[in-house]
Amino acid sequence: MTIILIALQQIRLLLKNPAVVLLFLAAPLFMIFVFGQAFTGVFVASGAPLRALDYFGVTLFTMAVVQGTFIASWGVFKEQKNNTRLRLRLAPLSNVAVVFGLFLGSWLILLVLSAIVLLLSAVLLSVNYGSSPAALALPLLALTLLASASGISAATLLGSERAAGGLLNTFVPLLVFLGGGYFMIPETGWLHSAARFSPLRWVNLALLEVPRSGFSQYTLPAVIFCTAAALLLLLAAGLKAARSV
Amino acid sequence: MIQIRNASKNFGATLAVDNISLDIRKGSLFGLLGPNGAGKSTLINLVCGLLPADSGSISFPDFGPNNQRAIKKSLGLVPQELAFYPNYTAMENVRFFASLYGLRGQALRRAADAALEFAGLTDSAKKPAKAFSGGMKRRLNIACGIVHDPQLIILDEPTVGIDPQSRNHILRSVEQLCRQGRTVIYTTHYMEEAETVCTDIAIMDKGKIIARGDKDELKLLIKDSTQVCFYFKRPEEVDLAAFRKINGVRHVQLDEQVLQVVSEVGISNLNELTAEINRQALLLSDIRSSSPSLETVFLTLTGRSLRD
Repeated sequence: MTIILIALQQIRLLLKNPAVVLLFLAAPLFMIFVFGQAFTGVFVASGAPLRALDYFGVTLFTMAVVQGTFIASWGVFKEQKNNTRLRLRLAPLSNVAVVFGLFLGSWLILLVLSAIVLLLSAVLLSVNYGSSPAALALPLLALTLLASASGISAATLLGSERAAGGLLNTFVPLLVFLGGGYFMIPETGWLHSAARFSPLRWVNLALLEVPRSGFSQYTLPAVIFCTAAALLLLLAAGLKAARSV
Repeated sequence: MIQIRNASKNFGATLAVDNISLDIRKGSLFGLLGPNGAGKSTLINLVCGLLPADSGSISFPDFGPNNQRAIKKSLGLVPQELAFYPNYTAMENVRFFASLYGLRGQALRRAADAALEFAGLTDSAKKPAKAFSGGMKRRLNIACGIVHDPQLIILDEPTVGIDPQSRNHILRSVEQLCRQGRTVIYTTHYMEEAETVCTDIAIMDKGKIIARGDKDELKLLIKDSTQVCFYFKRPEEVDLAAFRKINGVRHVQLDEQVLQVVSEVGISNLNELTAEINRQALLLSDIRSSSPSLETVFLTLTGRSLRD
């Protein structure tokens, strides 16, 4: 019950800050449109098997999902800034339940916002995400799980907004880069090898295959990679919370 | 209600709470008086379980050992910093904080209404907290801290930086809480507040309790002192060092236009004091012999003003 209470509170807190919601929804749509239009010629000339719009539709969408780490950590630090974290600590709740409530709230927010971006980019920009909802949903669920867990654990483990922000601002763009968010990663070479360590690479490969083959060889590794990493991060955050006064 | 035994807390090289032992009786309005940085808030954080003590113990005998949940339910803190959601209305704030204590449905509604009425915010219940004045925000801070009807209420400097009207409302509310049978711990560095509302007072300085009792008992600590106040038109011309050298003078303090001189009982030095005023050619507007206040007690015990 406590977890649900805190989760609902997180959702309400975000809805009271519509600027954050609007930015999350508008930024990826704008970028998909710009990149999709700008690189159309390049994709056609190189004989790529898919349109620039469909490529960037996936990679920039997953980049937006990963930006959800900031929404998750924002929720934690908002409680600190308002001093309301103090009241949560004083209430007869377990610290672990509070952390998991914050996680659940940010995950649900991210799921809903991601679904809206997906829908709008498909309807307004005609991005082709394929016709297999399950093949699309599974890697996305795992990625949202990882994004929220990363934000919550960075905030909980590091405690300081500056430190967590610094960490996330370093790792998120790196994972996006290795995931092919900014340009297509070559099929050979060190960059290709390094990209295997980015969960985004696996998710992007899985999603890019959906229009052609639905579930692909990349779906399962993407789901396992993201879910396992998310669980490990949540475990670390939970242990830290359990040890704190 | 609360037993504190040899509690200490360090922050690096700073000893914020230094071996404090204290009993706080059920139903009392306990004042913790001391200047900024005396260690009051740290002691409060130890009592609330927000900080672990480095040594010593803090127990709540009424609840028995290992009953943290019951203790937390019976404890309400009004922290020094405002602690609520500025984008929420007053009603949304109190309802959320009440729900953390398991209140639901009718009970939640009644508790929220009662807390807002207590804080004098019923008419502003649907306004966002960020639109409130400083005094209203302080009162909402109190409402959020007491909405779950705690038996022990801790108010940490609840009147800092607010208008006299809100200050009076808060002081009256604190007395009302005590009349309702709650135990209240009230920390402040305003000695007039402690004198007005508290039935039991501890004076804290540099992490230690330096005096304890009701206000009359505390004033007895300096029964061998008398106090004279000189009011000047140009206080910037006063040379304090010269007054300190006068026979029998224990402490001298200049607070705005008032020179406060605490002297030993039985030593008549009024002539010497007035002679010094004449020597410094100070423009005197009034002289008053006043009975010692808690401010005088603190000044006598520590040699410093509460507001230093």
